[in-house]
Amino acid sequence: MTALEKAVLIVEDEHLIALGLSAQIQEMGLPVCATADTAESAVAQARMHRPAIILMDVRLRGEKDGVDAAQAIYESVGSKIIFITGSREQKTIDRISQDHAFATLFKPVSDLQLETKVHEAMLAADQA
Amino acid sequence: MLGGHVLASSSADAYSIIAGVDFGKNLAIAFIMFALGAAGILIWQVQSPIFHTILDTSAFLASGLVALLLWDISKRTDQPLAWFLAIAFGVVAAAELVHTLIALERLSWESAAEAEIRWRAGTWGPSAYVAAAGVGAALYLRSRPRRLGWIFALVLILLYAVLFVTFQLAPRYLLPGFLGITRPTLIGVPFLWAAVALAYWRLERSSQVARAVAAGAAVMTVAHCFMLFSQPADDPTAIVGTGMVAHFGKVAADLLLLLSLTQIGAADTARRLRAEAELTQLNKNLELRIDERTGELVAANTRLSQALEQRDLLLREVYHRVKNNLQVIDGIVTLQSQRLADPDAKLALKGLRRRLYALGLVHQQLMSSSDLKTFDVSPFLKELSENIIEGIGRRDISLSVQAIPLDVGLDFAIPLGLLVTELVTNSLKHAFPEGKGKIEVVLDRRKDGSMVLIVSDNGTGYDMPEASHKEKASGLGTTLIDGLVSQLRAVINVRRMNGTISEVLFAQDEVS
Repeated sequence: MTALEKAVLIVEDEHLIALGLSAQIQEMGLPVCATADTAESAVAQARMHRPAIILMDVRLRGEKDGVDAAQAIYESVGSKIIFITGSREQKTIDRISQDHAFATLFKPVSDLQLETKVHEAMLAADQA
Repeated sequence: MLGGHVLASSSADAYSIIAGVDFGKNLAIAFIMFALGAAGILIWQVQSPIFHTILDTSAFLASGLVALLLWDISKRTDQPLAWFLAIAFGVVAAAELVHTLIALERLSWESAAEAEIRWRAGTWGPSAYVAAAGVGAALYLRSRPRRLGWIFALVLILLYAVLFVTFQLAPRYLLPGFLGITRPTLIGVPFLWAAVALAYWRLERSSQVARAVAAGAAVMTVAHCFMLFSQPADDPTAIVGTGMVAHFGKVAADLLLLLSLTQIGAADTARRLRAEAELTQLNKNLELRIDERTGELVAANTRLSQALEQRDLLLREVYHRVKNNLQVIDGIVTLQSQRLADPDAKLALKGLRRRLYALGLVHQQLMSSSDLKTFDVSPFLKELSENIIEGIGRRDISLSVQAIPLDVGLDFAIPLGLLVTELVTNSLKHAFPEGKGKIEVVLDRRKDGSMVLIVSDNGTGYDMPEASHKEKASGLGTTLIDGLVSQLRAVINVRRMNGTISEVLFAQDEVS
């Protein structure tokens, strides 16, 4: 497996939230390689850009959700995936825990929470 | 004794409905049988000792059977009247047995003709009087305790003995006298039976046994009238057969009683069977209704829980949408902030994002609470305060949050969250120009039950000379604090003593 790009893919079906997250990531000094709003495009973008980190919303446009996308990406690319979910329902949390999530953040996500997890994920990606 | 049975008459209507025994028809059958028998006897002038013995034996057997049936009824239905009647008929049966046996040739030491006159004629009267008196007395004993039965029996036997002796002394037959009566000693018997018939008819309307006795007594009355005209067979002036007619009438009366009592027993059984069948049907219907009702309740329950699930789903969705919208606004503000150069403007937008975060956090807590209406304020305040301190990037400031567990709703949590945001932000902004410091957030219950929120720091306070530049920002904070405190029906005290202590006192019942 070739080394991953030091970049972040943002998967989020609310465009403005995706833009806000992009701004936050850029303020941290990291590039955002792409944004995606469906599970399919997320997998495609991940394969294309091979980012080290993916910020993944659970609810996405289309039938498949973020957990499905994360599963496919984990198997083919191996990016560190940070879930950002609006729900604290046990059902969702159970599904995420079956997946290979690096971290799970619950909306609203504070700047510091996001920054901390992104840095941790980047460190882990470097070591891998 | 009359007073004791006033109640009985009130159930007369119920009696005629549930009787199950047609006493009128029985009475008619008895009288027709009696009339036919009497006609036969008088027309063919039947006067044989054998026929006489047969009738005496029949009367004895019938009385005995009546006594046994009554005894049975008294045990089954707990009727004292049946009990006393059983005793009366038992004594009468014994007296009739004496009357039957005494004239038999084998048992008599006199000639058959002498025995016929002395003993047979002499013992008819005592048993006739004892029967009428005994049956009549039973009616007046009907509300007395059953143990009196044996005394009653003894009295009847004694009465029989006295009458036996009396009738031996009195002449049996006389020449036809007033109205052609040949046996004046028996004149009281039909009157007694008539009185008995009337008394039973009037006093015991609700008792089937009493009705049966009344009917029997009516037949007895007529039968005993014939006896007044009986004469020895060898008397040339005799109307042959009047005595036999009386005997036959007595047997008819006994048979009428037997018929009625048997019917009463059968009717009781039929009624019980019907009642049991009705009860079974009633039980079945009840079970059916219970099943139906249970089904309805289960269905209603299912509907309710479905509605409840629907409501939970909708509430979660609404909270989610609200939260998402706040996130969208946060995204826009972040983007806007990125495009601004003025540090004051950036700071203002950062303040706005902090306040948005407080609102979003309330909805997040609500979504994950079990009832979707309230949540524990303690972890909420901790997460909220930590985020403010982290957001400002001052890792040298320590935070302690001590909140009692308290379930709060949206209406309280929103202003409380915003208030804590403002107070903690104030401490961060103004207290620690050199970094390093401590902020404490406390939510506690006071002795009088009211709540108090304390946000304190160990910093230098508001009165710093360089603060003048940021007046505008703190102006908004103060406005917000004042507004939120008044919305929460609270008062705020700010003291400066080794730092700043803001104490928010809530009104006693202003929680959640």
